[in-house]
Amino acid sequence: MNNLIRLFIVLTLVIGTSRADQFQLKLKESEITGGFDLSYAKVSIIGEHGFSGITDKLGRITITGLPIGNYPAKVLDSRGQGKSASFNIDGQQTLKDVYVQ
Amino acid sequence: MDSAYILFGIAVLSIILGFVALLSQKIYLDATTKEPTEVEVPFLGKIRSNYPALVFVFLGVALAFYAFQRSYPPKKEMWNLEGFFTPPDGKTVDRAGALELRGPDPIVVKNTIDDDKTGHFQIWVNIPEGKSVEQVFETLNYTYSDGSAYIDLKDKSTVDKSMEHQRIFKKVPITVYQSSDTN
Repeated sequence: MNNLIRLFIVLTLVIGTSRADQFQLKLKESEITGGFDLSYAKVSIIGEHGFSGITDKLGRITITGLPIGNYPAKVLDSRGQGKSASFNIDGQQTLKDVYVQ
Repeated sequence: MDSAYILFGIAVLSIILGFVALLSQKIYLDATTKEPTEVEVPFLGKIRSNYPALVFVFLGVALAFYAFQRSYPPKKEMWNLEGFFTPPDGKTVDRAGALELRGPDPIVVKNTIDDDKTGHFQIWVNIPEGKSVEQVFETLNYTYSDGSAYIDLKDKSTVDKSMEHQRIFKKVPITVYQSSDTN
């Protein structure tokens, strides 16, 4: 019984722990000439677990407070152009490429 | 400044000529139609008038206003922003990284990080008189190849000391980005 409780606690911690995953936003080669600017772009994840943040000058962002999972997001550049992206929160502490489209 | 004097001169001349024409009650007729002329006034469209002298007065006033605006732009005041973008232990910051004040008219401020170990920065920036740095800019961003950090200027909790034309910010840790190909 104690082992079951321990397993439950560990699983809860693993699933529910807030992550700080890092992403590098990128444009597909065919969309580079479209004028979309990844510098200081606003990233919004809406839903039960929400997040809002701004990329840095190089298009990087750290997403915190989300449990492991896949999250669709809206990306707005500084001129108001919108695109979408999908962020995979997996707890890895390395910079992951995310393509906006 | 010379161009401003010329503009003022033309404006005054237009206004004087317009008033002289108005006072002398001349009626101006179109050479071909022999009808009183029509004048095109911005936003009001065509106005049938035998007093195009009014146009002289109107243009003179507009020109004088434009020349005044150019000659006496809003005064600016020097503001000082100071703080630390602190790198993780054992790391330094790239003093040539991009430090930007972001707003409707963003500006890049160069050579303002004066210590690559503590990440101390000091910025001097001109702000139109009567406005605060928070009204003109939204964020202060620092980015270099290994990481980045930013200060939300609207968030008062980021300010350590606030004086008339100075803001001293609390230390802001830099988020370091770990590239996957370096592991």
